[in-house]
Amino acid sequence: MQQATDTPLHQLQRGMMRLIRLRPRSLPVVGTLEWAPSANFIVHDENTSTMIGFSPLTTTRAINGSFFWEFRLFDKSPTEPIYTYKSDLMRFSDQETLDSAEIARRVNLPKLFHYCELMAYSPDASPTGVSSVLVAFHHFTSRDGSFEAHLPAAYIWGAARFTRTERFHYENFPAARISATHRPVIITMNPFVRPMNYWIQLVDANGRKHDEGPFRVCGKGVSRWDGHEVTALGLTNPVGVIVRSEHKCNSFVGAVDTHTGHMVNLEHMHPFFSR
Amino acid sequence: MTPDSSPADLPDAGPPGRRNVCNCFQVTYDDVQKMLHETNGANMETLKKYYQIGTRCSSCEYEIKDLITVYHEEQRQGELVLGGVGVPLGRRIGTAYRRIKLDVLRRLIARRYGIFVLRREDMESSLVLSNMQFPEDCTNANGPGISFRVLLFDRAGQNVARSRTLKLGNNESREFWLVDLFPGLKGNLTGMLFIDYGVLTQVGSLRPYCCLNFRRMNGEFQGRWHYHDKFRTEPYNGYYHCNHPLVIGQVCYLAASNPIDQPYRSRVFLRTTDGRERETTIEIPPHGSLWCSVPELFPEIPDDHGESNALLWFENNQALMVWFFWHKQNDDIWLVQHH
Repeated sequence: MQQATDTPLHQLQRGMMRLIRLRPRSLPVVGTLEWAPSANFIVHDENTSTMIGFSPLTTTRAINGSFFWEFRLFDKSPTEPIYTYKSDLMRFSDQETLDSAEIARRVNLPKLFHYCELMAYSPDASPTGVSSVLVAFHHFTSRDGSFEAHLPAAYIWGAARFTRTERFHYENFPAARISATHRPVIITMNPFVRPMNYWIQLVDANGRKHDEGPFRVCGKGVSRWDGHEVTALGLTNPVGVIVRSEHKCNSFVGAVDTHTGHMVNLEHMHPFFSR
Repeated sequence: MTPDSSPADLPDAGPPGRRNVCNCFQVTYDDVQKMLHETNGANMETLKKYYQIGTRCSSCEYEIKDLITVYHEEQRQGELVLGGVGVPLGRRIGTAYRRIKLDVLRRLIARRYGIFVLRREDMESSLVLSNMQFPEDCTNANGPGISFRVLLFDRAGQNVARSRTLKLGNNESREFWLVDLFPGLKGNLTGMLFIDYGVLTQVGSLRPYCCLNFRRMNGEFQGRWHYHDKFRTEPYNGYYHCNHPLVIGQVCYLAASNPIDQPYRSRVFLRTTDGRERETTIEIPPHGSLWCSVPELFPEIPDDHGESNALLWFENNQALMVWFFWHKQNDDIWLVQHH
């Protein structure tokens, strides 16, 4: 379709495409279509809470489908969750929320900074891809502003054909700002059962690199790195952030205002895309 | 630095290929690759039956399925480079044609990305890009630098500005304010950016993000919140929705930009915890944008109303880019996330 906004270059490119009758087409799907779990973390203490919201309509339009979801919270054992919530039958546009206060009470822990997983599935609605995920969103908030975020669950599997992975797995985040007033925070989740090492690389606007690590995160665990020392390195902003890990992990990059202690950013990273 | 969870007594994970996939039976990544070669890419059930892998705690099952999928994709890619021994000539020619076609396409298609932008007295979006090398081989598949242009559309979908061709060097990160991109642009703005890269071999780290930069009451820079592009031209396979439209102490805002040439019209529903469903409609012109709070969409909802189990969703799944912003009034912090 001709778009009114195309630049002359794009018009030329699209014209050439029409001329040689080429259309973008992805490779056929290989593998089993099935619902897969997704990963996230939970934070709770006297100051901070997490509200987890899930509705099946997130990534399906099967309005007559029946759905179930299961929430699992992991502590020391990567194979045995310490808390599991299993929903009753949900209809397509139903929603359920879980509150971290209730979860903390049930597991009898005053503080939570734990990895958790969501497995949502339908016995009668077909997934659309090899590892389709029905996603939940976590809304974090705190009385003093020290932990604020709204994060979608992270895909653990899938999309391998678009991700450039060699010996290590990499995720990147563009143009963070690191200064005396804003220190970086990185939260990394390990969705697998084995422990994992990860490294952090900061690449400043001039290409100067700074490495941190390795750091270890246990199986089905979550780790937080606070860059107290890197604020004094004199990196030229903006700074690209790379997390290198031994296997696929999911990371979030944020910032804390050092004057107020407020969290003023927390967003997920992306892998290097191979196409 | 304070890595929070690093139990010191954990064993070293070792080289990547020697790491266990199945802890119960001590099966490594390399072992799984061997099994797949031996069985010509058997499915999970076959691997379970003949190798016991994943039959005890089953926590590795999805990962093994993912390895099987990747194996098959690699096999298919292998065929595409004419390397398959015993592959019929016709198929080899066909796959070679597809391979060349994909390669040609990659070099012909300009990569377009799209993202919502906002500029007003207390906050402003900036575009942030990083063109980082792939860290493992310290090379950049796109060469010494890339070029791109940025188009700006206003709320009504008018193309109000177009940047000159910009460049980003290898390993360079840059932040572009609207005034840098469009020097003549003045005043408040709600709209959308299209970021058009020229020829890219790989996207790498170039997926665009914006930052919402917000200021204190005295005008001093307070913080910023990253959010990333959501450009799409195909319908979404679910419903654009928000699980937390009514959070105590926070006002939720909807930001939506229409990336295609068709107008977007939809009914929007808000269901509150008591099960009551409210309905309104939105319309966004082609390339237009919308910015409004949930109380503005549903005026009977008070600004300070919060509840845990509300759900907001759009009926129409036509291509649209959607983000939600929350303003936490006590601390004057803004959060942003795509739907």
